[in-house]
Amino acid sequence: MKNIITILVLSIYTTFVSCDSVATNRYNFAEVKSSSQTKALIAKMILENKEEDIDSTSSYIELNLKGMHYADVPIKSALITDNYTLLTTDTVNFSAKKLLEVLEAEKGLTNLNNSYSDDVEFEWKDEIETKKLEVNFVNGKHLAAFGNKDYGKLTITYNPVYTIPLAKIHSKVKVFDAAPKYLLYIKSYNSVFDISINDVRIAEDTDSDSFNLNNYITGPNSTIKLTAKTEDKTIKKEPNTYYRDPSFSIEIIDNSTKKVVKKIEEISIKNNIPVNLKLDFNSTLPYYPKAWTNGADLRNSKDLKEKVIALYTKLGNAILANDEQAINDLFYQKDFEVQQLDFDTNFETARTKWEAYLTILLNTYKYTLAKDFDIEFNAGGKLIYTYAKDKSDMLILTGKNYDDSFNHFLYQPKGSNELKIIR
Amino acid sequence: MKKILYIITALLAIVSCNKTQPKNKTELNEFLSALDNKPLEEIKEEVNSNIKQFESMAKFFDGSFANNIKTINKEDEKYEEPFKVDTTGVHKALNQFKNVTFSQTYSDYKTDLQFIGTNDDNEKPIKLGQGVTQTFTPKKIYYHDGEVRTDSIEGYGLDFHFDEDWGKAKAIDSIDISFKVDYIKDYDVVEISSDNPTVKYKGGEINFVKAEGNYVYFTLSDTIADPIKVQGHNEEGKVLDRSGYSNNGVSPDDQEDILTEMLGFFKKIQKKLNDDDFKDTPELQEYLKDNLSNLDFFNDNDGIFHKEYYYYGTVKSIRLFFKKDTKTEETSFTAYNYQPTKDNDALIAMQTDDAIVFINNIGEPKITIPGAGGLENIGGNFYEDYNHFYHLNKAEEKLDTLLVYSVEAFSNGIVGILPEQESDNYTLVNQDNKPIGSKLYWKVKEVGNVLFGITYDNKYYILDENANATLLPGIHNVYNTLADDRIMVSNTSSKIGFINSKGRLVIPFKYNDAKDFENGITVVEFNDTYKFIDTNGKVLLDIKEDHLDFLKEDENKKRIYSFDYGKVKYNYKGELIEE
Repeated sequence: MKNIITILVLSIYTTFVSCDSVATNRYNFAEVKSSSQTKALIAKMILENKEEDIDSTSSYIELNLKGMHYADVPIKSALITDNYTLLTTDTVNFSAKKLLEVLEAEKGLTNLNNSYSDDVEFEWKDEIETKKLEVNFVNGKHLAAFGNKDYGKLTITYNPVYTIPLAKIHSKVKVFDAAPKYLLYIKSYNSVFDISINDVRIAEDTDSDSFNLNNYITGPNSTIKLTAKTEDKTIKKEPNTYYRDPSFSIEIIDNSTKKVVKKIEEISIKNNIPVNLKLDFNSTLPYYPKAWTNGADLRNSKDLKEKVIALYTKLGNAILANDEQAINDLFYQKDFEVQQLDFDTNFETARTKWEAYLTILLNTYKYTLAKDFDIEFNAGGKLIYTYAKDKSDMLILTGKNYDDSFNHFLYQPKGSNELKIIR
Repeated sequence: MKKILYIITALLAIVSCNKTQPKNKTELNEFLSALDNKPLEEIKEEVNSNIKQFESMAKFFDGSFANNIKTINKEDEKYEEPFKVDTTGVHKALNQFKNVTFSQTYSDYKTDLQFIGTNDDNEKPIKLGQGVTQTFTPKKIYYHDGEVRTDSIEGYGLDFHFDEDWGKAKAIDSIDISFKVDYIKDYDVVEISSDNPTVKYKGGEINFVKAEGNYVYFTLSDTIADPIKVQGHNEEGKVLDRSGYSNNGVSPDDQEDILTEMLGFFKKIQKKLNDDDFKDTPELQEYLKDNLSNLDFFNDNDGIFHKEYYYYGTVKSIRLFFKKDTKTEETSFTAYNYQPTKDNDALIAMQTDDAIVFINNIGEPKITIPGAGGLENIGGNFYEDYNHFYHLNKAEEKLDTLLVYSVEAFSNGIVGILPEQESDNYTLVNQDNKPIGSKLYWKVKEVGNVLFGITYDNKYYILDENANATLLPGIHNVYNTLADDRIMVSNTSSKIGFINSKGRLVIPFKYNDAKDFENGITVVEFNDTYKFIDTNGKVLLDIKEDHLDFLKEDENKKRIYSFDYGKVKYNYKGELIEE
């Protein structure tokens, strides 16, 4: 009861706003480009509107000051929170249409996002900010009759700015006219596959039907080796029952053009005898990663096990120490090559990934390493992968009700004595 | 920390809504005692930071009360039901309490109590109609150490929404509570209007002073008990909906606006505080006591209550309802601690301003960990906060941080720890955080208070409080309910049987379908028909119907066995329900 009274009075209090300022275009939200600039604008508004009693300490400020505008489009109300700014246009004279014109002049044309209601939405995204304009049709009309009476709600979100290279990979990704993305497609019945490309084993006993190949391509000619096996051997030929031999067909396609690069028509697995295939294909790319090409042959390397442990220990320690630079150094080459091989220039990809690393740093308070593991040699001994035997993965991260794990392809650049993460 | 703003608000509520006993200074004293032990500096800071907000509030209220008199068009009038005593819910209300539980928390050497539910299905007590009041009075508190307290506990609040202060920090096992429902059997009605402005009643006088539009002002001698209900009527005698009211000891003409006066007074206090005029909090309290009681609205000199009412309509007459005869019905129930103290040596975490203090069950501090805060008990000696899990190491009197994936406490005292990942096997430990038991379980399941460990090969073991494991042969699945000392289980052929809480297969695997027991019976499907059986598997009744509906219940939440889409139904005792 006591609490209810307090809340009631406070809510009455917060709705108590009087308006008495001079109406000139004083506060331009279009000039604001970051959260800190938003705070500066709020400070200016507070100083110039002392009678308004604006609570600057609140994390949820609602303003109805005269003189607010977005590049001369009058703004009726502004809701400013720690996470976003929501501007609503004046419903009487100035419209969403005008705001859309201003935004398209500033940010370029954009497609509208269809929504289920009568309202429509536009969105602009870049590294610094995301702007979303929602147009509310006053008379329930539609875009074709978009007029001056319709009002708009512009939500502006400022993105965190990261300086770490790992969060900005898109700026380094080279753009090419032709950017093939090679995919292996398998259609199969009652079959599983062991697959390697360019002597890198990418799957064992898998029944998946699609594999991205670009990450394992280092030159214009590639080879896929594939062993097809029966998945369920209990399915047998018996009198009066339908039976089909296990079978499969294969396509390698360039997903950017949907062109078929290589095709193998249906093959049956007879009497459960595995079928081995070797497929050479033209894997031309405008960019070839260094990847493990300058790696040392690790097959006779001494202390290889210790080197694997040393690498994962380094990673585990970097995570516990919240060492962002060390995380960057450990993952940059891998993440860059993978994003480049996907020819992905979207700023969000690396940022999302970096924020995933930050989540790991935030949540982890312990790491555990596998001590007992098998080493698999790929690419003529230049690339290794390890299979933990005493743990579920090579590196296990633990936090409160949180876990994650790491296991990567590793190589050792010639002239170095340390392993590096490469895929 | 409670802000002064809150105290001011509470005081305003008292002053404006509850001014029925002008000479009684209880509310004032309560307000003053809220300041007990509060450092003067803190009060000063709060007054300074909040008086501005209070000013805006005053400005707001100023406008809202004064100009309320208006004319309301006929078509905009709103009506309410004529007053009548509604006792329909009384019987139900008296029987609503089953398995009442409360949660007890501790801070600064005090207990906070919150009641959780009136029964297994309802969180809050049943609302009763007009003319009915309900009162909860605690009668006996049973502390865990054996003390039973009956004195000075009537005032302890019983609240299903908020924590209430329940005295010293000491573990409570249960509380006996009396629940009283008072309802009016007979009442007097007094009607006043401009045609009949003065009525003598019970040695006093009721006067209709003024009516204007939606507003009416009348007075009562303060020797007359407060009416239980006041209703305003329009010209045609329809009961108007009320939009607001105020009751005062002084007449409206003499009233200085309450908020303005209060504000003026608090500004004076603010100045005095800032000038360091008070040497300590008691001196401030003394000043408040002397001066607040001199403010007009704490005093009534004319022996008359002044009542102003506002309605959604044009008010012509007023009916006052006075209590004449009442009836009281009473019941009592016992409320139990939701997390009872189990072991006598268990310590309870209590937050103080600067530390976590672990107290024993009689409230004595045993281990103090400075700087720690926000701990919640998981079970026994295991705790968690937002970021970590902890074990209270009693031997070394410290809190050990457990860097593990999760900690789960079971009711038999065993604690299951997943050391690294969700997919790990459980490490079982005792209350000293020492590993116990010899098997690895990928899953630990608690049914009632029976603990099962399940190994990777899907074998079920029953685990005692030392994690000694007994294999339950043939069990492939254990269901989720322990009732009548029976747990439903099934084997690899999905045939259902029942074990008891010791793990013995009491009723063998033979049913295709079954339900958990309730009230000593249940229904099972065997040889293509359903049968009622008792807890030993003895068939009580063989029935022909099919299609058991598992979800039917009667109004007392007792099971109904419904077959063939409701064509045939049996009650929870297995008796045929005749439609």
